[in-house]
Amino acid sequence: MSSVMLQRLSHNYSGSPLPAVDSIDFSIQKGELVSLLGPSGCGKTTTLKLIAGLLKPTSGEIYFDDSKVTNVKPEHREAVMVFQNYLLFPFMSIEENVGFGLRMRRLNKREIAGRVRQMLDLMGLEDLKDRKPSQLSGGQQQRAALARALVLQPKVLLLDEPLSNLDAHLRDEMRELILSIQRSLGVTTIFVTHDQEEAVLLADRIALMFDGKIQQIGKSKLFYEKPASRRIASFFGNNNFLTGFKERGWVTSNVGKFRIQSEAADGPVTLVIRPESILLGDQGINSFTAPVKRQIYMGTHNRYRIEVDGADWEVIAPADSHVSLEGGRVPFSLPPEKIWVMPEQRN
Amino acid sequence: MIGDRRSLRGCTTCTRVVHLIVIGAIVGGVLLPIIPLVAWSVSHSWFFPEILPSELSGRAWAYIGSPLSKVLSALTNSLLIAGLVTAAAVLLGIPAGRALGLQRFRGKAIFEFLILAPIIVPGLAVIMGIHVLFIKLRLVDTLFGVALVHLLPSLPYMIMVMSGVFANYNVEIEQQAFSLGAGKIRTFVHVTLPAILPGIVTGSLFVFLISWSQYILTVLIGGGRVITLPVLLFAFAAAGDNAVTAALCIVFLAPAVLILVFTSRYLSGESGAMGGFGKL
Repeated sequence: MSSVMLQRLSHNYSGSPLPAVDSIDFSIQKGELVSLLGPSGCGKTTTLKLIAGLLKPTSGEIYFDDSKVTNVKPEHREAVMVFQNYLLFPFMSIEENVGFGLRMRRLNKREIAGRVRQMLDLMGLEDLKDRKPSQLSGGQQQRAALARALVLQPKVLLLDEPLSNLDAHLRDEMRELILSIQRSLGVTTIFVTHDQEEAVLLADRIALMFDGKIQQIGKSKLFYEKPASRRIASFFGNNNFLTGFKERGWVTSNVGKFRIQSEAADGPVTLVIRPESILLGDQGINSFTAPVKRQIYMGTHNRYRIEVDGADWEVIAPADSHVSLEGGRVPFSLPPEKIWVMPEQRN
Repeated sequence: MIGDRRSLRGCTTCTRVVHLIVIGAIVGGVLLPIIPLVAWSVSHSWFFPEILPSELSGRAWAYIGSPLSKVLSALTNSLLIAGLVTAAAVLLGIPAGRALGLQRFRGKAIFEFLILAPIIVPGLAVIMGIHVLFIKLRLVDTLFGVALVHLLPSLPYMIMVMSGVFANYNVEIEQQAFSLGAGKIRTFVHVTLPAILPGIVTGSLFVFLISWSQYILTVLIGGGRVITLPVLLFAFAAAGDNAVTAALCIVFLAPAVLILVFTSRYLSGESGAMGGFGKL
């Protein structure tokens, strides 16, 4: 396993005016499990292929540990990519598929057989080794594709949307498998996903990409509590925004004046608050009233839709809470320490 | 999965009967015309109201077997030419089909039309010009020249088949092979070739049979020096010797039938890989 460093890495597809990957800087530690997260078309798969060597960067460098691999061919790079649709070789048995990379490395037959058997055991595929890929279920194919990559003991394992082709319960199972195998083998792993929940559940760190650029890097908590932009907050499911003007410990908005705790510079700002941080009722500080448009009982909690400054906010409150939907305005409070203050962005 | 489909298909006696009728009709349609050929080839004389030849004779087969008849050398020539043409068509058809099937580029429609043009425009329209050119290049009256000109009506079929195969081919499977440590050549041999093999076989079959049955182009460029089976066949048919013509017809048919039998497993839809196995 190796650490990975991307240095001002860019890629332009020929004929496209905008770069698919735009000057990315990113380091991944040895043995780390990192997620490249972003909506489709944001350049995350392109980044993965650049690391794998399947695409040549327009500019920038890639390092594995201290050695530059930017110009190393994919077959010598030892960064193995597992594609979204598995791409098992259909005319080979599962055993032959898993042994493919070792055969390409011209290892002797006995060593290949041994390592393949060990990997098939680890992945629970030993009973399926003589089957053809078309005779396997999606989850089994995914495991075979992972086995085929891991048997090579790659420096870096690259997974493109490893869970997106699986149905819900298989997804949980596969997530646990990837996690436990990654932990036990300690292979540096980068996986691409468009699903923030998947990234949060699996990754040590998340790198969020929009428009070919990395927007924010950090542990998953950061994206919920301290998103760098409105777009990031929205991507993580939070649309409770309020614009205002910050002056020292206070923000003045259309809804009222709020006490805040923030290091942000004075001036126009956007406030972000998680749905579950908003408190029902007048708590004596940062209280305001808003009309409740909907109340949905979710079993473990109640979900309210309230109107704040012309926009819809979401509030999550305990299941035993109840408000009257009849016309009236209901009081809410924002705990100052839970309000995240972002400098106002141009867009 | 394939097994399931098969068992479903044969589940009722009704469909089984329909199957038998259809298969019977196809086999009959192919085999029946051969029966009179066999009868002709061993007949001494066979005139209208007779259902079977009145007198049998081995003359035609004896003639074909004798060195005088040049059948053996014509057979060799035909095989050599068709083999050469097929090999050349495979070598040209793979890259051309790959480009047309996988890439999008400016003027692609024009290229596709130009490649199909030899099928639309009869070869005779250009053969006179080619003849003059081949005289300058000293390619007339040679086996090689004939093979070259046979590419004209056959290569488009190969390219068409291969571009269809590559249109269904997922190039990422090659990237997967690279990523697993296979270089370009080994990726082609171990991954690409097995994927496109059914297409190559189908295309080769077309090309081989087109070259095999070519008459006019062979006569014009071969100038009567390059004798192939169709050339002999036309000569005997024109001379009205039905027995020898029928015997030659059988010799002419044999390789085609043999090739079909040996390649049939690639031609059935269930070999799956027919379309480059990308999206099964």
